[in-house]
Amino acid sequence: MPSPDRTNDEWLADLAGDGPELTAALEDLRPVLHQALRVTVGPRVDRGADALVDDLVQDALLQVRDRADQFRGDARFTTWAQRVAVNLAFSELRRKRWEDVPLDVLVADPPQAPEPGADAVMEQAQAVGLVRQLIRDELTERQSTALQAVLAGMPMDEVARRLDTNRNALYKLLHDARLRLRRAFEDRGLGPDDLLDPTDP
Amino acid sequence: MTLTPPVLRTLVARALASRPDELSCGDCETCVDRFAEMTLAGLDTREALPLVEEHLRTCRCCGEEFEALMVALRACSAQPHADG
Ligand SMILES: [Zn+2]
Repeated sequence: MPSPDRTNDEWLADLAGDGPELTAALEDLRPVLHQALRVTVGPRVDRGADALVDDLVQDALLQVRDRADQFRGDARFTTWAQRVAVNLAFSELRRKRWEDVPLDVLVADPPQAPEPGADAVMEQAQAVGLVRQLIRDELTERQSTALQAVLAGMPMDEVARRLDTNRNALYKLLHDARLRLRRAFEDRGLGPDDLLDPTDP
Repeated sequence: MTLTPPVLRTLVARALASRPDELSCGDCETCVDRFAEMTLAGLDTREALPLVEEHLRTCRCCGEEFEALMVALRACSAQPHADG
């Protein structure tokens, strides 16, 4: 691999220009980002990995150039640039994997009345009913939808895209939801063990 | 999909473990480069940056991206003259 032998300040200075320094900096960064994405994205796709990596590297180079002023200087510039590339690539992989899944198929059915049965089954069903009710009562509709989608396995950036927000804001929304539920669970003395499935051995 | 007992159990455990001072994904992002380099150098990140460590453990997207970044950095450091 060529040696992108620059200090952090030199990277920033070269990327801020628009002449041969910029071109040279991007060409020195390209193999660094290419290797980063080849070793991380490559194993995660079945076919067309080379073309996908090439496209992602191109997008990442543009993003690194455009966002270079956000680099805080507390790590190597190439570490920051590789993180920008990896985050962009993994967001794209998640988008491709989840693009055909609408949010509403992940949102829960209305809770059902517990079937009569053994005491343990009844207690378990009551606890389940209570948690579902607290989700309905304590959370906003947006919090409830986001929470259920994330619990169903949808990545946060994909939930965020469907709710017209971003991952950071969604994390804060879900954090607030968890704190509200924590208070409600604590008030009722509800713990994870109340939700153990009594039919499990 | 329904909120099945195992899913709700995860939710209850996670809610009860929630704290007001958790980092958001954006907060984590501003510290994770240094965290990654410290990890690569074998330094104690849990002691120095416990909230970052906790966010990476509990946030699936950030955790996945961090693991990938470490794979990339290890591949990079295995190459001569590749660390900028
Ligand atoms: Zn996160």
